[in-house]
Amino acid sequence: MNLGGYKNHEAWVDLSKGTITYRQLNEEDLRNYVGARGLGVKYMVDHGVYNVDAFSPDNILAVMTGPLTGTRIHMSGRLCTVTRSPLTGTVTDSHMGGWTAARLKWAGFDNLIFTGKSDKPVYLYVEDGKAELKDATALWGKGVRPTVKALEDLYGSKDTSVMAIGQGGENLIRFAGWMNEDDRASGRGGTGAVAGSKNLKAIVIKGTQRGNMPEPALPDKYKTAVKAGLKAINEGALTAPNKGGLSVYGTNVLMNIINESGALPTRNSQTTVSEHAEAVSGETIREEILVSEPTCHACPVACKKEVEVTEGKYKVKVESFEFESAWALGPNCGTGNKEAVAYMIDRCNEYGIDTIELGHVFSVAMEAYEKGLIQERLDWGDVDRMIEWIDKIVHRQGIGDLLAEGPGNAAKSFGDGSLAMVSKNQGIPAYDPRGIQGIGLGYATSNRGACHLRGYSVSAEIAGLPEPVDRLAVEGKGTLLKIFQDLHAFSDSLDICKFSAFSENADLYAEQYTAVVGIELDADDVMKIGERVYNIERYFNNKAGFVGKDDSLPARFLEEKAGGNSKGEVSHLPEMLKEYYDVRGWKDGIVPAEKLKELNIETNVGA
Amino acid sequence: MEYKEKLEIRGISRDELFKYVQELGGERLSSNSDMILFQSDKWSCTLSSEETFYFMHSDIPIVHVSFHSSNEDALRDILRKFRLKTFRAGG
Ligand code: SF4
Repeated sequence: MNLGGYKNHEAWVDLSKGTITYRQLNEEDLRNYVGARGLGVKYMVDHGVYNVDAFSPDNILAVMTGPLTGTRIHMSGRLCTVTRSPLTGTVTDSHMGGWTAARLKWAGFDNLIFTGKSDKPVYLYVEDGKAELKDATALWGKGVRPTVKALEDLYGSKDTSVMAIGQGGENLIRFAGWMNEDDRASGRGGTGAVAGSKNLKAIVIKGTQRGNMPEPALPDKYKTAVKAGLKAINEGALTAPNKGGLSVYGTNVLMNIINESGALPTRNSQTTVSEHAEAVSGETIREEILVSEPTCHACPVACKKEVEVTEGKYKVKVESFEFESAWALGPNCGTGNKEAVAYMIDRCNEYGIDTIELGHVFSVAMEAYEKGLIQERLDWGDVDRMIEWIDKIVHRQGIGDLLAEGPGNAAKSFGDGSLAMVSKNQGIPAYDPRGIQGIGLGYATSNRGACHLRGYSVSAEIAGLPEPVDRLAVEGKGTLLKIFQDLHAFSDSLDICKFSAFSENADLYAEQYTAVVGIELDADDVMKIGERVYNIERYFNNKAGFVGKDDSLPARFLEEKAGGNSKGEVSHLPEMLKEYYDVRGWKDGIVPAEKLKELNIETNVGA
Repeated sequence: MEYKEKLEIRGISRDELFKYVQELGGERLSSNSDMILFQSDKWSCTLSSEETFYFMHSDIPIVHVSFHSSNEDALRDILRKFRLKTFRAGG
């Protein structure tokens, strides 16, 4: 294979047999699916794991990079974990930043794919194109930080990255993720729980940049492409280092804006405006508890905001005070106690569980208690009991055992499934579908369950980028969302940070891809590949039994009216869905055979 | 009959939009401090001067872009291509 960017080397690790097989990549697959998210779902389809239990040894867990990962292309330090989700039953991919992804490339690998189940806890050690399984019995039961520390003590921290699961993954909490470099999460969809089901505790990667950076296919174009990407980021209104809102305040720049729009889901989406938003907003955090602004490989934006609480019972230092986490554990649960929220985020990172889903199981329990459906008391804003319950959930004690199953399952066990603000069983992020119509359509049609990162129409609907779109309008949202979804599907396959898309367009992605890989692409090709990835995911889900009725939102969003500056609004999902299916060429949520053919999606494998 | 479409583009500088219109085949016919006029064989285009609005703690440029054509298909085609260049997906 003569393509640049890739190492053309992946390890297939059979955990049942304890064997490792090295494979080269298939060029045709790379042309069609690029890498990371796209190639990961292709592997899932190839192996036909549509209906295997997510925790069965037959499920696949793929750790995937893309052709740009580990290169000098800016914001390219990302990888994703792909599997059949134990939370949603759909295919899922969950991305993380930091340096692990780049280091995996520098250690000689594009991807690591795990099958089977080890009979004892293990970790994978990766260096110089070779991988080895090692005993992790002594690490089992440990949190993420002690695990990372123990492995760094053993292998040295220089040139080493560790990605690990905590007790959340070990105890099969359906929303457990992977962590790397302590506080970077691939949080959504329960990919860490799948690792736990396989007795896979960690991956240790040793790799130096010097001499190991992937070679670009077209070195002259590469230099120009790197510069063009950097120029766009540096001049981007939101991404400009130390100037743009994303760089200065991080993702939490959105808290007050979304609240002012009357679109901040509050107290389990019972209302859409929170009196607590300001207290946990990016502005307050910057002024009161910010201590540093870390970044990822090759990223000048540095959107990470590390905070420190220096005294009191919530004393903590933690890196990821993100908008979604702050909302889920803050206004969504009726609190603006930023110190307690920081403390809970830290606990989530230590146990390796998703902050968004944790916020949802709390808010479901709070509303269930309020309505007299459960006896276990959890009041809105009772942060101390929330902190106590994190331990119960992670160790599956008492009511924690029900909450560990995720908000959708927990609400059903409490006798009212409609209490869970989920789509395909995954909790919604921090934008209320009544106040931002397009994002509601995005949640409903996301192939991995409710998610803002599949199609961030908020960009147009709230910020008016690149063209203002009425956030409450219905017409045109299906067409708009498809463009967002297809472009994100491509960038997730590269795998480049989503925030690059505030500044970079499809031309720039094509230019960077062409320079690195050596295959000439233009913006139309980028959108076509993105569309292919979106459709093969949908095909997987269709084979797993998902159809149009699953492209849904909780009744609350369709029936109960929003407040604040979205007063009186409900989601108009059915109308938007019709337009969306038309532009997608789907029939009732199903990808027809002619669409698969048009997009050159092979379906005669693993069926 | 003349067909036209007026767009408000946010977050992209006028210099960048100038480049896009040229890449799509527009030639600059004239300009003054308020407006730049481009012409191609199928359409014409004007770029307004750049304004700025402050949102998300960021200075966001706004430029009004108008496309005109006597051919509806040509207008549709240039709008599709132009929007592909201006599209930013955020994240
Ligand atoms: S913008 Fe933030 S998340 Fe993205 S690469 Fe940069 S530091 Fe990492």
